[in-house]
Amino acid sequence: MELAEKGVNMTIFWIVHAVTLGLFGIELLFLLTVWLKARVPGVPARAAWWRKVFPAIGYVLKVVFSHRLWPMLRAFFVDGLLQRRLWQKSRRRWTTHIMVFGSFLILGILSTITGVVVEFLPLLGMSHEAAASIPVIGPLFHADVWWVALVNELLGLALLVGMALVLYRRFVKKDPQLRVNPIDNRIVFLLTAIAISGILTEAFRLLANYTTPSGVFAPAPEMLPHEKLPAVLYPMWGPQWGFVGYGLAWLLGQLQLSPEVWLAALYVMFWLHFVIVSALLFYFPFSRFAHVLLGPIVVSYNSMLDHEKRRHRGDGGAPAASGRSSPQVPAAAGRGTE
Amino acid sequence: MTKTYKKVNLAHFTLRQMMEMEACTRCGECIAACPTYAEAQSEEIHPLNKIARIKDFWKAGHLGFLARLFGLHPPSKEELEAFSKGVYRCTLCARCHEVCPVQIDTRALWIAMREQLVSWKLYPELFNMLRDRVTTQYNISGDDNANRLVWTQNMEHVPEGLDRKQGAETVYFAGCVGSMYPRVYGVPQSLAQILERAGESFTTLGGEEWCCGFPLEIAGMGSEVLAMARHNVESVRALGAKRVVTTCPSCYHTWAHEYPHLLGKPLGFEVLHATEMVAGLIERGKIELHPVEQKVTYHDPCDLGRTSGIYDAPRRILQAIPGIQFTEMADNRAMSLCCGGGGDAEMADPELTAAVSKRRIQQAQESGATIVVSACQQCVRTLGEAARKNRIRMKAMDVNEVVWQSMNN
Repeated sequence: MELAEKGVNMTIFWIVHAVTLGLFGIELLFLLTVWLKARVPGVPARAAWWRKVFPAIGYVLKVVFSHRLWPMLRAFFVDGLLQRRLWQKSRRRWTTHIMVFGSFLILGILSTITGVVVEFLPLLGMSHEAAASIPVIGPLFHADVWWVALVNELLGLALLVGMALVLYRRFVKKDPQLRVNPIDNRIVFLLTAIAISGILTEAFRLLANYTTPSGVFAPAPEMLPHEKLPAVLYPMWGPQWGFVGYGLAWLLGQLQLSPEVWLAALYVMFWLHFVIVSALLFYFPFSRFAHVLLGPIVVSYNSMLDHEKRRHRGDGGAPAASGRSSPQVPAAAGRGTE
Repeated sequence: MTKTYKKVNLAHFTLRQMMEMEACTRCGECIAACPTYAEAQSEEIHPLNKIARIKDFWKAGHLGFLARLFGLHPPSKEELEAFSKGVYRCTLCARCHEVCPVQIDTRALWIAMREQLVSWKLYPELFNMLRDRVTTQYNISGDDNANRLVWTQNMEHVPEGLDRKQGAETVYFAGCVGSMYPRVYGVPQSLAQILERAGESFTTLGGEEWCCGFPLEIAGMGSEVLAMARHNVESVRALGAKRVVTTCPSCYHTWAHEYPHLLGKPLGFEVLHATEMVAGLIERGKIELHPVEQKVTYHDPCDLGRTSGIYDAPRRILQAIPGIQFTEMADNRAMSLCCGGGGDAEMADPELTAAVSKRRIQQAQESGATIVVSACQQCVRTLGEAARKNRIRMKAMDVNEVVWQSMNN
């Protein structure tokens, strides 16, 4: 029993999703027009924003297609994605941040691939069986493929634990260098709500799909229609690998409610989860969360500039241990540092 | 609370800065690193707050109904005044940049904020006096600029050709503080004598030396600096010099990094900080050094270290002097604490900058050194003053003074 058959109208979902994504894109473009009121190299400061579009693009291309690309990519990966500076500062905070940022990023990528496999490939005339047979991404066809369930579960759990640590640091530990304000808290609460509602949605989906008419939670691959779980995926079927959602479903299953009840619960939770995700997407560009998008870009560019400055001067700024003499610098002719 | 609507003019910022403001993660690393916040514990001062406030201000003015939807309102007069206080009580030390996970170029951002505040006429009154002095007398002290070489008056021997000698290879740009504040006359006097003893062909711009413009640039009054850049650069070109050397890190930064940008083309001669030149002279054997039996520590000036990337040259000099026992302070190089003398902050809040200086001189004392050496006449002045006020038995000297002492021992 799948969402569509059980009454969760996926057409409405995709329409609303497309509108939300469109709105997100429009917001980004709108923000860009505001940013372009700032100065751009080679254009008079007070010129209209639209006159700065092409010079700005030109500047970006000039940076990208130059010897600066490699140091920027390196910084993007090391400082932007792996967050080296935070790692150097605090392993504990790095772990928290990477749990939230990393799992959110990977879950987003996986969801996008799933959307392509499930919705778009069949639109192009590919059969569900053929789509499910594509190596690696094919199994993403269904969340109950064991490794998909496991990966989703681990990432969801990491997000949940990460958010718990964030909440602990903010509201219990009250780290003195943190500045908590109500506007920031909106994002924190939205992310927490996404993590919780995601796991509940998963549990209700399992219950709605795998509860017998007599109210027994007894999962088996045959309970799903063939077009939703092609036979090629049967050997990989294993929803129990999604241990948190599965465990929760098993627990709730002890209530022995009818599949219709679970379906109603799924309906409510699915749309609630979707509305929260959409709200986050809508609020994203105007919130503190914008750093997720801009942080890696800015740190790549700034790290590259710092790298150039250090290479140009050949002078090290890394602090030396106090109370000791610095190593003797060998005598060099001329300016020495240039 | 008085409501006043002030829309941020985004032309004061660059596109990169707009993105940097959005990239701020609000992690608070900068709060822990900020030397003025450490002393004042006032929320308006720390970097995180300054970025958050200006973002709120520009969003309230430029996002239309979306701003209201997300709870952003135009700033009140009180909010703007508090913001101004925070922005001008910053020493522009850029320590926040060093700890920022996204490496926001904070110093440039604070200056852009000051430009905005100047256009709103929300800046400390004293800055008007500074602007008047620099734009009419061409120096920060307000003295007659013809007295630029007053620092030579008590020298036993004045090097020849100090006043605009045609054909000299090097022009020594002494800077306003070095030229006109008696407490640090020793700095230009030492360098001039070092250069003479080393046989260098050098001169100064004499009365034609105008303020480099740095104090106005960092005050947010950068529009006044172009005329100074043109005058100074043309004066050097007229002498046919190959290089400009400065003892002041702020002058160095302005000449080396701001002037080419302001004038839109390379200067056509090289710009050196005195430590680079003196280190080169020592390493080429042009200077004979004699023992100085002292334990010294080195204070990195913000504009020389973090802003210009010069950390090694002054250390090479000190380590080349026989007898000197060199030790580092707990915070050194890129993480060096500020002496409190930068960013024109002393004009906005002298008590606060005195507290910053006190912390640094205490740290110098904790290193076990008896002399704190710097490569900036402003740092030497500030640290010397802090030692005196706080009864700390420690001498503050410029690296050129130490070299000159060594040459004469």
